[in-house]
Amino acid sequence: MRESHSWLSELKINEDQDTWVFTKSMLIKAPIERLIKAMRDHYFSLKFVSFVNCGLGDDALIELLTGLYPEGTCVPKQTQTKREANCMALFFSTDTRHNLKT
Amino acid sequence: MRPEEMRPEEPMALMELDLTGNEITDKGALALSFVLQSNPKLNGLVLAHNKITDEGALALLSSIAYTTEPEATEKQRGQPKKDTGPILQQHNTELKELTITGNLLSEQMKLLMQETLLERGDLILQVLDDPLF
Repeated sequence: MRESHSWLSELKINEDQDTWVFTKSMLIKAPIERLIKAMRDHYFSLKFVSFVNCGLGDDALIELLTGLYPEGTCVPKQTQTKREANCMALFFSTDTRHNLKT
Repeated sequence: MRPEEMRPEEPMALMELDLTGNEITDKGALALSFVLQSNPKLNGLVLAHNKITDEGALALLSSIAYTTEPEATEKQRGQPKKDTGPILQQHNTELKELTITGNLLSEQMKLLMQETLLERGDLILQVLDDPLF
């Protein structure tokens, strides 16, 4: 099936080609995996990426992060329980703990 | 995405990610906290005007806050990693800017973030909401 690349024409890229600005319109036109592939194809040069007001939501964000960092960064390396324990340890190790509602 | 389309052995060089206004909640914040933990190149993250609550902020904070003295961390660079106990063995020390204004954080959490990240003098934290919004 022939793929439409009309979304690419909307992509704003600066002169150094290190900054990409995505728009909501582009995300409607192209599945997120196409954007991920385009970004990964430029992984050496791409430094700044903007998704301002794109309506990504959690699921698309997680898909994006998993695609950009497939080495497993989105998969918890610790169990959720341990993770929560860490968060709580930090929470209660600060001087502000007495100001916080539990 | 098919595995052959990716290059998992080479992490992204991405330095800054602006996710302003994307209805991201704690679920997304938790995913980002894992990315921060293991991606030292990402040194700017903008999460303004999303739907992150204290829970998500705490996950992010736990990924970037020091739990040991920064000087000790510097000394340990280049040396074999020591077991520092169960708490926060991995955290991002390279993040230079975090913007989390316009979310659903309590005033207490904003204070906690500010005070906890005071140790990280190299990190610019924007957590206080713009009164115009």
